[in-house]
Amino acid sequence: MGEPRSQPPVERPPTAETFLPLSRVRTIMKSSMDTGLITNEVLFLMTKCTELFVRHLAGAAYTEEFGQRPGEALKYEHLSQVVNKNKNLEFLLQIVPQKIRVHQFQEMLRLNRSAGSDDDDDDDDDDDEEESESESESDE
Amino acid sequence: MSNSEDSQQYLNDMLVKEEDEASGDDSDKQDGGIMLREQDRFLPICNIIKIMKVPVPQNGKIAKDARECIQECVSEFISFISSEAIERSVAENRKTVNGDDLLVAFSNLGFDNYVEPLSIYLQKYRESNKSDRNLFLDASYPHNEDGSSANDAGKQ
Repeated sequence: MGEPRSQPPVERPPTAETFLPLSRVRTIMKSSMDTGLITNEVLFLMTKCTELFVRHLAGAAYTEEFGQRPGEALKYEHLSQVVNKNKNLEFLLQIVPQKIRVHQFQEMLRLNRSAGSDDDDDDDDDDDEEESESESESDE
Repeated sequence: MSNSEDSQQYLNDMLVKEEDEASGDDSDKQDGGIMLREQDRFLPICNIIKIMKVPVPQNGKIAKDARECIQECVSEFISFISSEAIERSVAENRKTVNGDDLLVAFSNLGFDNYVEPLSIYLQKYRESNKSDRNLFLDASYPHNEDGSSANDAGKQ
């Protein structure tokens, strides 16, 4: 979608400007904190580190698969591989599970039900839904 | 300067508004915590794509599923770090999360490679607050960030 860039974007030197909207970052931070206040200092730093995180994740996923070869397309499965390989990205495993076939998923469900619910987390339920949708899409 | 800061904030707010208008997503429920609208749960995808393009070689493309995937990863990352940071300030009986809490959070959660650039940003931010804000904008800066990125690439 859209035209490929003829030139790679130039790396910006660190400045006080951010690519990402601070107000939205604050909203996300507050939603995960039951209590506590966020200083502008922290908000700014979190926004900067989020930018670093995006660059690191996208860069690692692309490099892992293609090295420095230009013109390739970064896809979900490349991100999924990076997440599964790195220990400090374990918190993303539920967000970026590796894709499996529908019959494997159904078998997992069957085993889960027979074994009783080991995981009572709502997150797991959400994951099931996401995986189901994902598999349906891949089959089409 | 306060004018530039207000301008920056204004631009950010305008961007958020545009994003809100552009988004047609249904609202999404979250268990526990604050209920967020779908468009508030994520950062604007056009901004994320700009950042993703930096490490991708010339003419590299980013598939739609990868864009949306990273959008979710980013929100999870912010929540993950925030939860860790707040725990430290609460343990020390403080109501406010500060920059050092964030530093410790990154270190505790296995993001040691972020601590150095974060420390530099923190130092620069505090300096700019003490004196003229333009100091941050004008300061010449060694590319430690590039160094960190290179290190990250090497570790993979």
